[in-house]
Amino acid sequence: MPDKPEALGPNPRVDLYLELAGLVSGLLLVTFLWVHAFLNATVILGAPVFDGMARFLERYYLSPVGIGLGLLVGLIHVLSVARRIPTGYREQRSLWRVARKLRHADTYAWILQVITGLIILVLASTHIWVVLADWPLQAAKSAFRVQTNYLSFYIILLLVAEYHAGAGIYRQFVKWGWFRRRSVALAVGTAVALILTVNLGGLWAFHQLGVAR
Amino acid sequence: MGRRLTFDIFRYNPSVPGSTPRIQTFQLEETPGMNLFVALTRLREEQDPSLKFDFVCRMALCGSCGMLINGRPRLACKTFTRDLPAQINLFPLPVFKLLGDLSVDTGTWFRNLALKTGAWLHTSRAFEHDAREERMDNETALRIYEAERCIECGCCLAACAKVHLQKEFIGAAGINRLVRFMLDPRDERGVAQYFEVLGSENGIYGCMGLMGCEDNCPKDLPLQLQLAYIRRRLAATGVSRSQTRQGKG
Ligand code: HEM
Ligand code: SF4
Ligand code: SF4
Repeated sequence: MPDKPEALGPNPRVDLYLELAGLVSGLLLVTFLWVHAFLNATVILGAPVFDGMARFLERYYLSPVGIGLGLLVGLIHVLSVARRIPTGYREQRSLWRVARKLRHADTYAWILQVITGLIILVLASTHIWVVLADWPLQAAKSAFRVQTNYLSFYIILLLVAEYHAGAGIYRQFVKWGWFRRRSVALAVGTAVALILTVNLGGLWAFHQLGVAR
Repeated sequence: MGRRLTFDIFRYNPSVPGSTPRIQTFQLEETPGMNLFVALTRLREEQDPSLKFDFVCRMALCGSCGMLINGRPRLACKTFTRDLPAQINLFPLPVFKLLGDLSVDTGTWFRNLALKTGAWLHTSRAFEHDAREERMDNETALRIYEAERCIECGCCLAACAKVHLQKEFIGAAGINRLVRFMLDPRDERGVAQYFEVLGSENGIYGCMGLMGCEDNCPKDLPLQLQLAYIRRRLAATGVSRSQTRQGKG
């Protein structure tokens, strides 16, 4: 065997590192998303609980730190997975052609993952912008947003993000894990359904807040 | 009375000057237990002797008859017409060099793979033809056998979007073949040496986990677990620099 069958440049491990960066950043973002879901859902217990939570996070600088780290990890994620996004006409054409011919669920799931990733990029930036522009966080302000223009925006962002996160960890377990796909899909599907419920509960509570007033 | 089957078959013979790619339509009466080997043989004998396709064993052991059957890579000998609609479209496997009609050259691809990745047993010991074969524990033998069951039909490559996007990616068949030697205690290469060959975007870290391979492997190889195994083994070696330098992992 030749010592180095292929010249990979100065660091032959760079492909592994990129893969690990995608993995770790993806998992951290999922953690962020799911913690975010539960923090958000404190509004189900009432506006004062939500406001107390917001003040608590503020007092220990957890909000700026959390958002800052989230943005940093998000940046790393986009940079490390961007190499996989099929750009260019020829790549797009061969990808869609294989998927259509095979009629293969996991291949389509991956295509959808790329599309939802790009949608998140736009919607999540908008979301963060809107919330930061009206800082500090308060239940009344969020309720106002949910009841005026933003309900459908949030529902779309929620569904897109949960799909992307769910499909992402599913694929990571398939790629690295010890379990067959069926069990992975079942476990991830259950987790996503749970988090989705928590999120929708939060949105519903924000929607009700104004009605009660 | 059987169904009347319609076959739309890709015809093109690159070695014949003036030949252009086209689709030719055939009709055939379905018979009980008919597989595509039988159907294609009858078409060639009764309707068009110039139709090219490959067969050797007729029992899913030689890997010659892979083709796209209604868009999916399948072995013709293992595919029964009763599992298909009356309209059947046959195309040659993509990825490989087209020899003519449904016949492709998988051999050159796999030979290049073997040369490029060193896919044979590497040992410094001289072969002694009259010595007894060394014993191997049953579990290891079975694990090697599980990888060795691959018949190199190429279906997994045709079914992998990544192979289509990146020609140099060696796909599940290529990675699985290297796993076979990595598992073999007689092979003297360390994990770090395997990392040099497989630990890149053209090897295991190019795989995107699309599982087209596993879902289309006619031999039902456990490709998901095989790919995950080598991904973990190589990552453990790859992140510890010193080991990569030394060779033996
Ligand atoms: C809420 C934010 C996000 C979460 C929770 C998240 C989560 C994940 C996870 C867990 C993976 C699997 C990791 C991998 O396959 O390497 C993944 C993959 C991916 N993500 Fe994200 N992601 C988010 C935002 C984004 C954004 C903004 C983009 C925009 C470009 C994006 C594009 C992708 C792509 C293209 C992949 C596939 C990479 C591959 O198959 O190798 N993601 N994401
Ligand atoms: S792994 Fe399966 S599909 Fe791929 S070449 Fe081997 S037998 Fe064919
Ligand atoms: S898991 Fe997917 S990307 Fe990896 S080899 Fe199989 S089909 Fe190709």
